[in-house]
Amino acid sequence: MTPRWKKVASDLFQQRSRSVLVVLSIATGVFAVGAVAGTYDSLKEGLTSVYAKGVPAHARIFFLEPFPLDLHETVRRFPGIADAEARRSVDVRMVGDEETSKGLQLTAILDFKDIRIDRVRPVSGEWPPKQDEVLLERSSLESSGLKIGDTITVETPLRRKRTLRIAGTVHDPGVPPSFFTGRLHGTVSMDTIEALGEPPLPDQLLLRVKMPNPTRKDVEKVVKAVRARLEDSGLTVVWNWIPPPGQHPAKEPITSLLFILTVLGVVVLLLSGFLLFNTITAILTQQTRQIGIMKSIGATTAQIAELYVVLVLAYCTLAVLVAVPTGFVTARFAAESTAGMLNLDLPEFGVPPWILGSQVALGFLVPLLAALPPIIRASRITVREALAFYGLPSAASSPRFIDVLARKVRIITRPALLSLRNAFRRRLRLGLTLATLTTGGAIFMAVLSTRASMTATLEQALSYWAYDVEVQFIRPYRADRVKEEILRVPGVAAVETWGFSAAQLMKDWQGTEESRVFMLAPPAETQMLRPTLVEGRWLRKDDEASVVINTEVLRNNPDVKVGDHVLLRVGGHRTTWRVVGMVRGVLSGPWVYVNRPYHALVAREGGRAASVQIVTTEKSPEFLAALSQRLEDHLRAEGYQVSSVENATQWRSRVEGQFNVITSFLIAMALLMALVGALALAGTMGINVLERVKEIGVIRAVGASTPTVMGIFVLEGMTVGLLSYLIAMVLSLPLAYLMSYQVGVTFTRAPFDFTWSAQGAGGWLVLVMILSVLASLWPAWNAARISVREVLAME
Amino acid sequence: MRNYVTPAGMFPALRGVDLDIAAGEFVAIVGKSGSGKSTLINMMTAIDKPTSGEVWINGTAVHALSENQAAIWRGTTVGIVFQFFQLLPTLSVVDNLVLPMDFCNRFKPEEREKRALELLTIVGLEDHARKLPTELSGGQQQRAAIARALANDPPILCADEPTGNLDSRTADAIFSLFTDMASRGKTIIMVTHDRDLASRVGRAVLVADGLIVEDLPGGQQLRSAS
Repeated sequence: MTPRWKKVASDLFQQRSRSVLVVLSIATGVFAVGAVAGTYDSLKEGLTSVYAKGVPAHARIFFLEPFPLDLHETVRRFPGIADAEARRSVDVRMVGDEETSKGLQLTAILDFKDIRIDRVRPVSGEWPPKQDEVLLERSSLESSGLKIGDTITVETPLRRKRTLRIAGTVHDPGVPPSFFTGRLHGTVSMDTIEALGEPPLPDQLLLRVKMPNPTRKDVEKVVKAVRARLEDSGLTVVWNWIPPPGQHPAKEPITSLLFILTVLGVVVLLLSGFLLFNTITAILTQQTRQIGIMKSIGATTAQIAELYVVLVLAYCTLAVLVAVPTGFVTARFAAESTAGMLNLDLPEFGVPPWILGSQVALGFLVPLLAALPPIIRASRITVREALAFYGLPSAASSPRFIDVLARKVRIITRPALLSLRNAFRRRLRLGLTLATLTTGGAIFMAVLSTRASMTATLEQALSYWAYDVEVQFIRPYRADRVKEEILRVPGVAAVETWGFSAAQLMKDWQGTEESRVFMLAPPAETQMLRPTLVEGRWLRKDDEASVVINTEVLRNNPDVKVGDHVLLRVGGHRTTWRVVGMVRGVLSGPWVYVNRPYHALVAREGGRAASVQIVTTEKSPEFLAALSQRLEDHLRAEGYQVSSVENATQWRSRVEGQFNVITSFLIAMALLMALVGALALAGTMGINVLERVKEIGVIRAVGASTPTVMGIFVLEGMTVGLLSYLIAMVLSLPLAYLMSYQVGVTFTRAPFDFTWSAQGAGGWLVLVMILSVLASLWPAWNAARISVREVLAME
Repeated sequence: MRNYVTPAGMFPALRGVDLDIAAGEFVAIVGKSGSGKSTLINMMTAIDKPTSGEVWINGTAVHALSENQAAIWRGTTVGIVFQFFQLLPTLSVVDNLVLPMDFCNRFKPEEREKRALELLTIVGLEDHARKLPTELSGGQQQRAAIARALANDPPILCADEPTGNLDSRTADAIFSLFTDMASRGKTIIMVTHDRDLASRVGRAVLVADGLIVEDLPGGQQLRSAS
């Protein structure tokens, strides 16, 4: 190796802490790009092509009564139909000894050797299930706490009990994970359905249309024709469901989330460019004299520039070597945990060449672009300028207010004054450091405010269900009797009966387009519902065919407005309603609210009710769980057919689980931002120490102790930290507002209630101060180790 | 002639200087600080340029060289020795010597180190070749710097206060090294404020207030009050 490359190598390896810092700052940006892009790529595959391998149904049609075993074979020959399969579902309840019973949906597959649509894949244990065996969906096994080999007792709606053995697990890609929905799913054979006392016949059709990439409209057209033919032959369709064709239902929100993360990743990369510009400028400033000497012994401008370009390339290489693997490990972790939450299978995790390529390209290009201006400037310096260079501009250029401050505030000691002045000596460097630290801080605070807004919105959404326990019956009972019965259970404070129906919102009566909504009919003056009106008004006592919709109805019916008339099919009856208001729905599904008496009329309920809402005297989770059990036991003993008892703790944890997915991504990004900010500060402080070695020697020579020398630098770091905090505070407000608006619209179709997070602001203050101290401690320690002799020996 | 712009206005560092130096001469340029002697030598090494006037060395119009041309010309024509030695701190002594050959692509790559070691032997540092500059004493560092100035075998050696930072015994040793080089046929131009040293060279030029006030052959004491 020739001496000039030895010089590059020694610059690289002898100034180890500086090299680590530069490498880390490049690596952070490259890492962020790799982590986000890798997550995106893997999930995109999982949400589209891997999902498509399960041959998801284009449509499911549910019938009122079971139909003959060979119907789906006839349907396969219908025009436009590529394939059809028939299945049977029975909702049973698992009756446990201790825990509260849980709902379990059993789906029977007709022929396990010929699964064509919504392919259920065996995961562990036996396959296919024999009579009295159930294969639990893998996420259901996990959330139920059961093991393969356990036996469970289930009870059908007709109160038949039977013991089933859990023989294995399956993956059903069409089933959302049960910790989200709170429901359990299992696959059985038709024999088991028969053993449960139900007719061994299918009640639903799964369809695939004959088109390579059908749109929703295409599918609707085919389904409409199929329905018409089947209804002509005397079958009654309850409803049909058309998921977004060709993609996992969660694709849209996940893509939006990843887009936000991509934007943040690019910000991190740009900030790491700033960081590098600072560091390279400092390295070159520090080496000005050396550049002068090299020029005096014959080095040309190009030779000097080449030396530093190679140095930067070496930093880049090390950074890419660090960032690429860590980025992929992180991407893999993020993608897998998200996939776990969506019950999704991912492709074999590999390194897509385009991500690797862009990481390498960015990892070299951004640093080079950032470093070239200072390198060109430094290598053009003349020998005379270089040899006449004696360090920093004088402290006289520090802002006036510091001197004024020093005169006014007598407690500011001379060393402290030195810190304050030092902080302002290199204006460009200070500016870039502040920009990085401020961006990090502003995003950190904005993310926490978004989370706070999300929590507040969630809190409000949950408090909107102002009851504590809900009991649903298999069939309606006389409302006044049910109320009386429930009020006898100790711990119950108040009871209301609400009407409930599953309904279909139709575009027209021909069934062109329809989507499932849940119709709820509380008493108009209810105390157990506190909806947030987005538009229009709430129901009034005298309202008849009036309906209030929630914002989630818009997901499938974006055109519906307040004042419109809508068609709803309720229990086979066609009804027309006027939309009088819209309330916010938060991850609750599409709900419509109608007046209790009018609903009773439409649903032919009379004075009966299938759903009871209860307010309890105490609200603790333990109390609610115990009360739920007492209620269930009591009602059963009285002969009521209970379908489900659910309490507030259960649905709260379910909804919170969904929100946590979003926040954990955002928090991870915020922490990365904080890291970049800290690196920027550490870099600047390290550079400041290197640049001021001589000054430190002088301070030492006039009697500064080690704590004084360290204190000067730590205080300087804290000054920068505090300054960035003040700017970040101001910036974080509009940023937080925008972010919580956008995240709200993306995930709940309505902006969140904006809440400024005092925790975020306080937390960042503490964090930025800790980071400032930590970032300046190492450089300060280096500074304190410099001896007077060393400094004087320098020249 | 060279003008400097200073906060006090235009300041001519040198005025109407006319100096001819023949090949093989050992010339001392003497003067107080601020007299213009460093500016004079910097123009000879193309580190600085005259505002008006010309500098011709060995047929090259040095004043007309661009910064880059100057670097290449300097690398092969002039060896420079600084007051503060100016060795690269992260390279060993021998590597500091090979560096100029490397930059100017002089000698075959495999011969460069051998040559550097020979030069170190001449200055008496053969045992310190692998050390870093900071492990050497000031006098040793200056010897290394002189050896480096000779690396590309330039005909001219320029030294700006080479003994200014050394004690008198070490200064004497360094001085005799220069005399030795002169006897090997190098043209040596040395800036110094030490009148005793100046009296021991072939020719002494006294600069004061930007003017050459005396130009004497060797062996004579400069008389002017300075």
